[in-house]
Amino acid sequence: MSESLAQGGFSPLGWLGRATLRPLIYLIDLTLFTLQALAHGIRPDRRLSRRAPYSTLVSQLLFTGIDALPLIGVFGIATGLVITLPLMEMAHLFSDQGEVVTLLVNLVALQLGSLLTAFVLVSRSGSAIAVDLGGMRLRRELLALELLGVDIIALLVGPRLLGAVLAQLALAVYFTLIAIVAGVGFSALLYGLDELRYLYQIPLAFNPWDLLVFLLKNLLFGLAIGATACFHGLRVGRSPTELPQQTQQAIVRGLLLVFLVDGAFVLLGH
Amino acid sequence: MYACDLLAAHAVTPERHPEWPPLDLCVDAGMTLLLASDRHRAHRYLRLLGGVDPVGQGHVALLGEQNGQLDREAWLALRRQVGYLLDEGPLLSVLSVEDNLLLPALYHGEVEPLALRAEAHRLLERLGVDSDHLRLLPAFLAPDQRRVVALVRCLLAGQRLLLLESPLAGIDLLRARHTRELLHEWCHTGQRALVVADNDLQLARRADTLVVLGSGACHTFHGWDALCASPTPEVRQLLTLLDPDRPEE
Repeated sequence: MSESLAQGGFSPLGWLGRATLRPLIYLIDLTLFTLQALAHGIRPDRRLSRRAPYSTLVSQLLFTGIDALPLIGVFGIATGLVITLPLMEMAHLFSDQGEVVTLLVNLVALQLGSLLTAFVLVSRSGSAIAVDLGGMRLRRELLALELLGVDIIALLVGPRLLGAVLAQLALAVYFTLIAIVAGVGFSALLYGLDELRYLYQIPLAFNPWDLLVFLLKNLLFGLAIGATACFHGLRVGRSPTELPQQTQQAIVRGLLLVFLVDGAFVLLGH
Repeated sequence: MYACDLLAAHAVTPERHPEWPPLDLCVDAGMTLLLASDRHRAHRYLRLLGGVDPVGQGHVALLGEQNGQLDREAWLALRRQVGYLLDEGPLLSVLSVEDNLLLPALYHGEVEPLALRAEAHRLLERLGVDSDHLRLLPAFLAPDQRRVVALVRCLLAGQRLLLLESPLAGIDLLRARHTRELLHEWCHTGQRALVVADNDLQLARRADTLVVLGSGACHTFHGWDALCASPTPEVRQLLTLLDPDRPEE
């Protein structure tokens, strides 16, 4: 071993090793954290039927789900206008009616709907969860509860995770519905009421496999967003400077994970 | 096997301060008060005893369980019996004062909610916190009111042993008097014990056990009179700081 290495100097091989291992260790940590949170969140523990975790879940569903409806609605209408409508116009030029329906189902319903909903959820709820938990960690509110025997994973993380999963699924359905209805509606306004026939044909074009993939993908998106946000929120230590750092990491890594999950589904689909 | 049911510490020093003198302590019931001219030192030892900070040398057993040998589940189960109040008494900022008060006890699920709420109201009223404040978030309370709420939350949580970091610091005189009374009653009801780190003269006069955490050694006394009778210079010096009006013998 050279002297510089023995003294802890820069080693390209060491750097490469660390750079390779770091994401793997991060993913293992995140997975274990998620499994632990899920186990605490869904096991039939008598304490979980108590008021506090239940109210946390309801609050999370209200904030992540219900409060996001207007924003998701606006995004859905905008997507209908800038994506669904041009897609329909282009498809009309080059293909028949059946292919238009297939394109809308595969692209807007099965891909864009879930992905754009996940973007909104990461930026809106993921950041809020990370700041919320990080702030509690910073002010030692969580430690104070743990020292009284309260399991904060069961009380605060499990319900947030379940809330994010359920909200992602419900909002993705809502977003997709609006994006397609708005797109077809704009098309009908521009090209005649005959275009409304797509509203009947699109639902019939879904097969059970598509619906299962849609369901699974959104459950995993919600899980990735909620888990990343909680994980980074709880990583905040004693310094206030850690809060923005962890929040930023929660957002960036949440987005990255959503893309990775989506990419895995695309590859599996082929 | 330890003779002390609730807390047993043998030759224990903080991991970050191995040079500090070792502490031996046995807690079964009543109030034990840790005194030190440096509050930071008293808190460090208290955190060791409460299983919050890692032990450097020696060992601590809480309810017969050795600190540092418990998994997460066992640690949480132990904390249902052994509570700890941090210095700043942080409350969960997203819950109302009342929900904060009831949360640990309801979470452990061994009390009837209505009776618990009534007891919480009674204690808060006794400590001079108006019941109008119960629906507020903790951020809207004054710092000393927050500390009182945090203390009452600990007392309601149903633990057998409570360790409190400076519970009287920053609390006004009347409220401090009521708090002392409450603490004294709590630890002398049933098989319960308090370990408190606070340089409070009134509390020291009524404590069952006093531990002076000096720089050279830790000295244990059973009662105020025993402390006052100590010829050790370090103890005499602390006594002068604690009670400046006391006539020198």
